[in-house]
Order: sequence, then structure tokens, then C-alpha cells
Amino acid sequence: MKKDFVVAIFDDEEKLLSGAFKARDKNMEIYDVYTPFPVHGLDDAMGIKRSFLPYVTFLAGAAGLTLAVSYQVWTMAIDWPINVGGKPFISWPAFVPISFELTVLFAAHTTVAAFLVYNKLFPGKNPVIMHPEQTCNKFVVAMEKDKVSLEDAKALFSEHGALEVKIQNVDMNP
Amino acid sequence: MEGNFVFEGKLKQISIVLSLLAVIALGVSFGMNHYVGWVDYLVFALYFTTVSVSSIFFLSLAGVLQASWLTPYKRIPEAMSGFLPYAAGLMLISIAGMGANYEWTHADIVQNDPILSAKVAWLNTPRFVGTMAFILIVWNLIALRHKKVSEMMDGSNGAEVARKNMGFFAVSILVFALTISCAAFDWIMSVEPHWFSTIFGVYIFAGTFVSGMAFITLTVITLKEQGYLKNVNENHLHDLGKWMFGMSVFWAYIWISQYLLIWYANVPEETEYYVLRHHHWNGLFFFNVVINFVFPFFVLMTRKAKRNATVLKTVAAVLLVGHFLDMYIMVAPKIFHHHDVHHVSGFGVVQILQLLGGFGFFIFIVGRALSKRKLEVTSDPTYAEGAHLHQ
Repeated sequence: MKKDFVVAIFDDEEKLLSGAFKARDKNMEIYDVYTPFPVHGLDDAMGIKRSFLPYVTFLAGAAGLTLAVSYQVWTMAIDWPINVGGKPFISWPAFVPISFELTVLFAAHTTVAAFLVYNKLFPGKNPVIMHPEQTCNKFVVAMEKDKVSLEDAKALFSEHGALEVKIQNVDMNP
Repeated sequence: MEGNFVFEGKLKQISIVLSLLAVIALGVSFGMNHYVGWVDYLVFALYFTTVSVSSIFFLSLAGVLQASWLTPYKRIPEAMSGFLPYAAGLMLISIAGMGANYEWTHADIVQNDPILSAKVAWLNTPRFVGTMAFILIVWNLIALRHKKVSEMMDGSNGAEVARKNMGFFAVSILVFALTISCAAFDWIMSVEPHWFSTIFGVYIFAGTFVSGMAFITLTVITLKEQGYLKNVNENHLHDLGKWMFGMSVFWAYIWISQYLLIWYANVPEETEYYVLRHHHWNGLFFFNVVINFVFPFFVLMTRKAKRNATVLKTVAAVLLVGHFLDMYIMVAPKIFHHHDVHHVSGFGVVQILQLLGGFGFFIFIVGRALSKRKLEVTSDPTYAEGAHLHQ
């Protein structure tokens, strides 16, 4: 599927940031921004909402903790009680390391998996290329053509030091 | 750029009044009982020594990593290190109470005790006092050197100064690690000379880190409320919140590491430490974990909480009290048990007043040190990066 985008190309992240902030002020909807490295403050500039990932992490961690504790209690005290050094069957200090590890394991793996799924990242996925130098030294702001007019974009981004503002036909599912 | 922090008016008066309160509250303890007095004094001296000595660790750490997170408020640890001479004084005074606090100082007890006799090569008064003096001098020298480095940065090319002192930063971290472990074994663990725990030095370090960071957080927010530190925003608070959260977890990790192994192995000479605490101090013993781990863990978990000044202030204050309690739980039980003074005192109002008063004295010294130099460390090479922090 091919799609038309209005792209503004920058060679400086500060210019990109000020441009993106301005676009948000003017209610110009940015589809995505492509940068060679993480630009601090860009989330704010694009008006991206907080990720829901922390909640996934918390729930997965809680699930790991519950599983670890219940499984240890079940094996150590219910299914096959074992007397270890005369200690009670349910001895919380002995359960701490495994509970901790399973909490971390579940939280970490689920977070990574959720991140990949949410961002539709998988092996063999081809990147969307707005500009051949977007992973090298150029910063690209992309807007959908039916939502933002080329003239508006040109007026706004040229003022903030865009090298070029143009229409680009991009292959979304290469 | 802004000028100096002005230390006068209400804050100064309150800190002086509180300093007097500390003296009175300590006097009350000594009035109650000789042993209670020395326990409270030792806890008091140890606590404020650890809070202030954390500063040289933060400065060395930031120096060696060229870390920028600390630079916007680097003057605060620098000022905290100004308390170290007073901390040295406090610790040296505690030598007068060695007879009350450390049973191994009594020749007759040691003679009739095969375990203590075997440890006499290390646990003897001249070696103890000598090592204490050495450690305190080393800490003060490191603090002085940090001050010198910081002053040199003001006078010339900051990046050049930072680069030239990289070796000092790195070595001072190593020296700090060895000295604080030794201090923990000597000053705190030897209160129970039959007992030993090899992780004890790390445990004290974790507590030091948390309480130092809590004090920095509290100071940063207070200064900001008074109109200083204009460059510090919620991104910096977020960093401080993460430090307090992370290091509380680290502290708890070391706590359970010590507890778990001793509990599991169940060797009498190791379990005596916890048996004693479960016997008379069970409530406080577990409350210590709640206040220093469970509370900050759940309160600081969300991003929102870490960026909220009121939440951070509350957690920092709770942690500062928590680690005072932690120190008390480490020192008091054995001495109380040994001299049977459980009925005389415990952890209560008088001890909290000593803590509060101690902070008056601490803030008086730190505030005075803070007021002497420009609050913004613009000469530091990482200042611009630190001021423009994003989260």
C-alpha cells in the first residue's frame, strides 16, 4: 500500500523540535517523526500520550509474584510437605528470592513483548522510508497528505529551518 | 545567573534552636541512664556522619562518570561535605563512651571469653581509635580535595580540571568503599563482637546512599520553593525520585540478603543478632522494613509521584527518619540487653527529638557552607547538559 505524505526535512534536532512544537500549537497533526537517534523532548513536542507499558509491567510483575508465591506454597506445604531444618512449611524468607526473580522475569519479558507487539516490530519487517537519510543525518517530520496541506506545512516548517518540504509517496508495506 | 544562597532569618534561627534541642535531648538520655545516653549519642553521631559522608561519594561518582544529573545542585553535596569535620568531632567524642558501648573494651570480659580473646588482635582500643582517626582524616581530605577541584573549576577551564582529576575521583571511590566498610565493621558491628556479617559494610553503604539522597532531595525542593535553583524542574526531581526509589530497593535487597542467609543456615553464632531483635524489638524491627522499603516502593512507583515535589518531600523525610531508626535498631538492642536497661528507654520521643535537633545542627553547618559560594555551578563542564535535562 502506497500513501502520500507531506514531509519536512531538517538537519538539526533543535530546529526539528521547535518546528514540531509549533505544529502542535497550530493543530497540525503529525503522523510520525523519523530521527537517526532519540531526540529528547520530542514526545512532548509531538503531543504523544504516556505509554501504557508501565501498567503492563506492573500487571505482569504482580502476576509473576502471585504465581511464584502460590506455587511455592503449594509445593512446599500442600502437595508434598518437606521438613527443611525444622522450619515451618510456609517460610516466607525462603520464598523471597524466587518470588523476586519471577516478578522480574515476568515483568521484563512481558514488557519487551508488549513493546514489540504494540510497535508492530517483528523479524523481517521492512522499515518505512520517508527519506533515504533518515537513519543517517536527517530528521523527517511526516504528516498525512489528506490532513495537512503542503502550503501550510511549507509556511510553518520553512520558518523553523526545514531544508525541504515536499510531497512524498511512501510504500507503507514494502 | 543567580548569586549565593542567603542563610539567615527564620531558617537560621530555627536551626540554632534545634541544635540546642539536640544537646538537651541527648542530655535527657544521659540523665536517664549512662548506657542509654551513650547508645543515643553513638546513634546520633553515626547517623549524621553517614548522611554527610555520602556527599563525597556522590561527588566522586559524578566526577568519574562525568554525570550531569548532579551538577545543577552540586553545591548541596559540596556543602554537606562541610559537615565532615563536625562529624569527625562527634565520632571522636564517642570514644569517651567506648566502655559503655563496646563490651570488648573490658579486659576482664575479653579474658574470660575465648571468642573475644581470639579477636583481640583487631578488637582492641588503640587499633580502634587509630583506625577511626585515620578514616575520619581520609574522609575530610577527600572532601577538601573536592572543594579544591570545585574552586579550580570556577577559576579556569572546567573541562580541563575535571579531566585532570579523573584519577582522584576514581581512587576516592575505592577509598570510600574500603573506609566505609571498615567503619561499619568497627563502629557498628563491633557493638556485638561475637556476631559477624560480611555484607554489613554494603548494608551501611546502602543506608548511607539512601539517606544522603533523601537529604539532597529535601534541600533541592526547599531551595526551589524559596526561589533558588531556577534551572531545576520536575525532570530533575524525577531523577531524585528514581534514586530514592532505586536505592531503597537496593537497601531492602541487602537487608533480605543478610537476613535470609542467616535465617536459612540457622547457625547460633549468626542467628543471635536476629533472635535478640525478634525477642524485644520485633515491632520496630519489621517497621524498619516498612518505613524504608515498602512505603517508598509503593509511593514512588509511578512517574507522577516522582515528579511531584510534595510526594518527594514526604518520602525523603520518612526515609531520613527511617534510616535513623535503622541505625538505632543496629546499635541499641545488644547494649540494652547486656546492661538490662530495656525498662529505661527505647526508641521514642526523646530519640526523635535528637534526630530533629541533629538536623538543626546539620542544616546550620550545611546552610552556612552553602551560602559561601555561588549556588549555580556554571563552571562545571556538565552544567549545561545537566540544566537541560529531559526525561
